[in-house]
Amino acid sequence: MAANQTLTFQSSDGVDISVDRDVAERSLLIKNMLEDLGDAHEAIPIPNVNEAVLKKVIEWCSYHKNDPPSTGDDDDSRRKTTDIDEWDQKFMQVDQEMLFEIILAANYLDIKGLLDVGCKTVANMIKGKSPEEIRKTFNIQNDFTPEEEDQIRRENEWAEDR
Amino acid sequence: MPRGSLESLPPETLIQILELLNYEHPPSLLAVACTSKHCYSLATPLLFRTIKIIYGGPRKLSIDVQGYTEMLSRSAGFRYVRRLLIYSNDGDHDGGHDGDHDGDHDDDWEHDYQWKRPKTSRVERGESEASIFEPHDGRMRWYSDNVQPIRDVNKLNKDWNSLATFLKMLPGLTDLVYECSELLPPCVLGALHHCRPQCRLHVDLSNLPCLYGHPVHSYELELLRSVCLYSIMINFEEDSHHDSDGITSHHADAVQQLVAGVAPNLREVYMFLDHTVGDYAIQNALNFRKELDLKLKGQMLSQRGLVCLQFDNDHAQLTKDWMKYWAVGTDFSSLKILKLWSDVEEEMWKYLIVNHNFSSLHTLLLTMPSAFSPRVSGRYYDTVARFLLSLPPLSSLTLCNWKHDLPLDAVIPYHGPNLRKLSVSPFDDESLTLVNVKRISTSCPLLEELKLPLRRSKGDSTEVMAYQALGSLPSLRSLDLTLNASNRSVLDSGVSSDGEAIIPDNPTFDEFDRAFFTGDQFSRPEMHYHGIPRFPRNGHIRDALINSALDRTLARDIFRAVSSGKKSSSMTLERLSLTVEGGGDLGGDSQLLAGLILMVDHLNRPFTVERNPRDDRRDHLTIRRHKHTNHSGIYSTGAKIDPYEDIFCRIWPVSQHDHEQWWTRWHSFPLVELPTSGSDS
Repeated sequence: MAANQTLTFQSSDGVDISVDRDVAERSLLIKNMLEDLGDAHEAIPIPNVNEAVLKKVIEWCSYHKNDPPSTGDDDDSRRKTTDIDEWDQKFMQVDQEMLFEIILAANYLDIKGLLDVGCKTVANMIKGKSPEEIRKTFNIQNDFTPEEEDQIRRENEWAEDR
Repeated sequence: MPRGSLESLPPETLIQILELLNYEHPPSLLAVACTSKHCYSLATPLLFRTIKIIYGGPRKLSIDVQGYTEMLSRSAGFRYVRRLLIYSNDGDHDGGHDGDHDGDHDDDWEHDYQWKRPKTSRVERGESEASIFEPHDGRMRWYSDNVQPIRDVNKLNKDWNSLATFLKMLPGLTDLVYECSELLPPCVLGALHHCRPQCRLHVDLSNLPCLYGHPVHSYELELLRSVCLYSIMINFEEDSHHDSDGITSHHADAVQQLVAGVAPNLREVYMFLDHTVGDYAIQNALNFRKELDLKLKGQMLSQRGLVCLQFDNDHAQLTKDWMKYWAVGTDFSSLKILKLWSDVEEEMWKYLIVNHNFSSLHTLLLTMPSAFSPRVSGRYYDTVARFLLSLPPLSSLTLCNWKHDLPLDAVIPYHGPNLRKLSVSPFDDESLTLVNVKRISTSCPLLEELKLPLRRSKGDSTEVMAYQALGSLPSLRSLDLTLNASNRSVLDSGVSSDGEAIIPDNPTFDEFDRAFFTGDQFSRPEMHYHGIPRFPRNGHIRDALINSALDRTLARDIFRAVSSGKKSSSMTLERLSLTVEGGGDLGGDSQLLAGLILMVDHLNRPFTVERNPRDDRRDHLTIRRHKHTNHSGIYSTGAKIDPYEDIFCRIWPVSQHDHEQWWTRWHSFPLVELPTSGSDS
């Protein structure tokens, strides 16, 4: 295999960032694009991701560049749980806006591992909270009448605390 | 939409988050669903995934079907129903009513019955590896004691047409579970075949008339040959069916034929046989009397291979011959799950080791003999160990009636690298040693769920080291401990060379502790050992009381002790269950210290300690006290403090005023050197 190639990403706010190819290929979007295009000699625009977020995403990809590829096995119970590695937990200790930006970037760039960690982090922020607390934490406008909310609760008692 | 709003996430990402909540903490899924219409619409596929109906006569059924129909219509949710469960209300299901109700006739239901969606367990929602038919949630099953042949198919349909119509409205149905004492109605099977031929049918076939020697009805053949038939339960009880009056059991034979390909997609079998019938059925099966032929004429059978096989036999051992019989039609190498709920004769293990490979197996439950039996040779447990070592490394292992003769130190390191779940239920007063626990903790990096028996030693360093060793399991999230408070060495230590009873002493005992306890009304003069009277010392009684005393404080401290063994990179412990057993058992004849055993029962309850799921309150613990399973949990008049008062009051001084309520005037003893564990409270 050839020596690791360096690519350049250009963030949505116009900043060029160098990134090793093996790190960049954690993104399936980039990996597939490079396979289609061959080598990329010019800066690759990442239109939806600003510099700060892109740097965070690259930081995650660098740390995880040697992870085994996902098996895509949805039966793996580990995927279903909200356990998060210690390093990832620390990585995700960012303000809520940045967390959501990272999730959106991971979704756009198709970085499955990062998207999983992002979703787990949000799930952990939700767990155990009341609807009102969740609305407050995540800026959700309540468009239910009290009767409608009550009906949903009654119809789904199976999910209440046992 | 504001940035940082949950609703700003792409729907597929929000669904991924909701899936996590559904799996780990359903109340939080419901909470998100209640926040807004957008969140609710994304949550509905999960909220409606499993629906359950408790059958209680045609009137209730039609009310239930109507209730579900209205609910699903309002949210356009018919397509989201994946699993439909139909139970009869004669089992111990969480019914759609609050009171105790034991009738299953229409008239028994209150006329003001209103539809209510029953709760579901993880197993019922298909989120657990446990089979829908195996014993869980304390469910009871009742079977008719007089199975009659089918005479009129239309009669079977009478009450069920509303369900058949409802079923046709569920395009996404993947699993239908039917567990009623009545036969699966033909209209329901017809709807399944016609509209959902890919749906997996899980059905209890125990009362199928042809299995009792009745002439085979064409509907029975249609059911048994169904392409939908995926998992079956067969329960055959001696009490209700005797061969002596000419009724023949074809249960084993029929299941064999189903497995061999009559039911082309059958993958899971749970078979329960009562002991006498079990022996008979085995003999009957071994004789291979194919009086019941379920095949289509000229049909060549081909099987897909079972993935799950479970045998249960209340009182008899599973034999080599029984397994040999099954091996004729069953490819053991395709099995992923094997559960043997009754114990197995040694020859069967040997036979399986030599003749079969279980290359796909990942889950095993095995049961060892539950009584001291002459049939169990000294080599028995070596053979079991050899069998365990002949398997591929398992992800789930359950050992029932475990004795220390089965060397865990050989078995666990072999399966450890893959194990995610390990459950050890002890025989009698067996418990694991600190060495065993340390071996588990160093061999099982993936272990998430663990159940085992540990011996209490008044919270000393050995006991605390065992808790910490368990905590050092990096993936452990759920721990279930049976705390053994017995000390049989007190009265079982034999006799010295000069004929004196040996009663162990303890250097920490003072004069009072060392004195023999002779005060129990039961203890004198019967407490003999080969004609030599023997008594425990006061200190032994004292230790028994301390080891049995489990309250909220100790439950919390044990949780903390386990957690203190965790490294920062480990998964946190989420749940700890604690039960005390063997309190007051000092060996000898347990009847002689019955007063003590009754008394210590009041010094503990089972506890569950759970970490708060909220990310801002993770250090908060919820401690729940449960009822004893063996008594009502209220003060028993049989429990008297009097003979033990001096000992009790030296530990927990009780004033004359409180004397009448001694069982509320105690507290657990603290664990030694409990390292600080952050801010758990």
